[in-house]
Amino acid sequence: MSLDGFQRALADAVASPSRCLELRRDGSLLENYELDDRERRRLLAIVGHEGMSHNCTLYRANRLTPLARSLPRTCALLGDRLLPELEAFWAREPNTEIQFKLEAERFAHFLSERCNEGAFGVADELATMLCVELSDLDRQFGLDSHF
Amino acid sequence: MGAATGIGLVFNSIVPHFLAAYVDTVDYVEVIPETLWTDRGRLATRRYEPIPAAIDEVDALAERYPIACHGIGLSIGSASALDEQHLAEIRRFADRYGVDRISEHFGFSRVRGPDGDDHHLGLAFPIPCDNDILSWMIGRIERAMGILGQPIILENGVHHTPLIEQDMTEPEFLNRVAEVTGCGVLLDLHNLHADHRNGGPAPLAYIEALDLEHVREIHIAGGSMIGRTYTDSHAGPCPPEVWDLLVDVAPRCPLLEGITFEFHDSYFPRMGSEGLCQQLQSAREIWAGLPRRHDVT
Repeated sequence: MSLDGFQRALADAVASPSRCLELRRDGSLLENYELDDRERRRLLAIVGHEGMSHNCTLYRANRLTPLARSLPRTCALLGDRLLPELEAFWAREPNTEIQFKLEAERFAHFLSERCNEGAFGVADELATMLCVELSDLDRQFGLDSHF
Repeated sequence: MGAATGIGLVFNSIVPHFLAAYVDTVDYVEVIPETLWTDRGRLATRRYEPIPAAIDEVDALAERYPIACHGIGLSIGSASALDEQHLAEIRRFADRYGVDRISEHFGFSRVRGPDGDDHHLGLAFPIPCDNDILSWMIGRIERAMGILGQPIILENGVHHTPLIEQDMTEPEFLNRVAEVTGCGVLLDLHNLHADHRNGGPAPLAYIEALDLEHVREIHIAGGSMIGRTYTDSHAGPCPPEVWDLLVDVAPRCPLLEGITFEFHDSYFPRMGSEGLCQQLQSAREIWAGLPRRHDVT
């Protein structure tokens, strides 16, 4: 078996709807992964199945959830800019972080850089909101160890 | 504290408040240990950072209820090295609360990244049920149980996409794993229902193929539609089909210890305390009708 290659190929496809479409058109793209013939057929069956779009949707929903729950007012303040900023963030950080605090910190760092680049007209409000919500997170998650 | 038997509820932010008002609606609380810490990954020097507020809540619940453990972070089916640090942390959790039932998910949710650390997919996938993977998985489960100091209970997941050309079915795979290792099965009836709603096989076909003597716990839950797909979102009350399955299956599981209701806290307003009480009461009535051997305590 070459389970590692199979799982990494599947993970890459789930993280990218465009990658799925490419694989549907051109199965030879799987040559970058160590796979046996059966695993290659399995992957092509998976990406070609209608349920794959749901996998991709769940992947994105599960990446959004930690941010929406940890930085709700920041997300609201971004408004229509949220989606393009998320797309850019996910492109830069392709690896999912399910730990809410860590993911919120990563996104906050990304937004801070974008503020410094002059990407937002509401940079001051955004910076303030990030400070407030990150402080809230620190209080919520605590700093002391007693486990 | 006694064993985690009877009717249980998966811990979330609502549960402490609900149980403060409805004390006797559950016999145990099932906790996802990963909600009690921030995990900075295998390569971190200080990997686990406790979350004191969550620990305080579970500590308080543990004074009144037995605690069961329901892990989401092990990814037992990952091709990367078995995460023994994580297992040791689960063991610490189990020792702290006197846990006698530790469940995890049968599948994988992490993949090995180029930096040597695992990267999380954010959702779980089934593993291919092939002969070579069976022997590999048996070794991992035995090692995991050695670290945990007790059997692990593996839960069937959902399948939004097919795995073709497998050497055996998933229930056959679970039967063989359980026979060899002594691990148990957590039968999630809503996952089977969700698969069926999305065009998969009838739940009873899966159940009939599974050796129900390995089932130690049953999960029930509700779901919701996302686009054209029915999702195991724990979105509220169980659909009638899940209750029908529970009535049918529970009496046929001779070693069943508990029926656990799962709901996501963000959906609680749809159900409310009264709705949650109704779900737990319905489960309790089914539990009460089971053969006497189920009354472990």
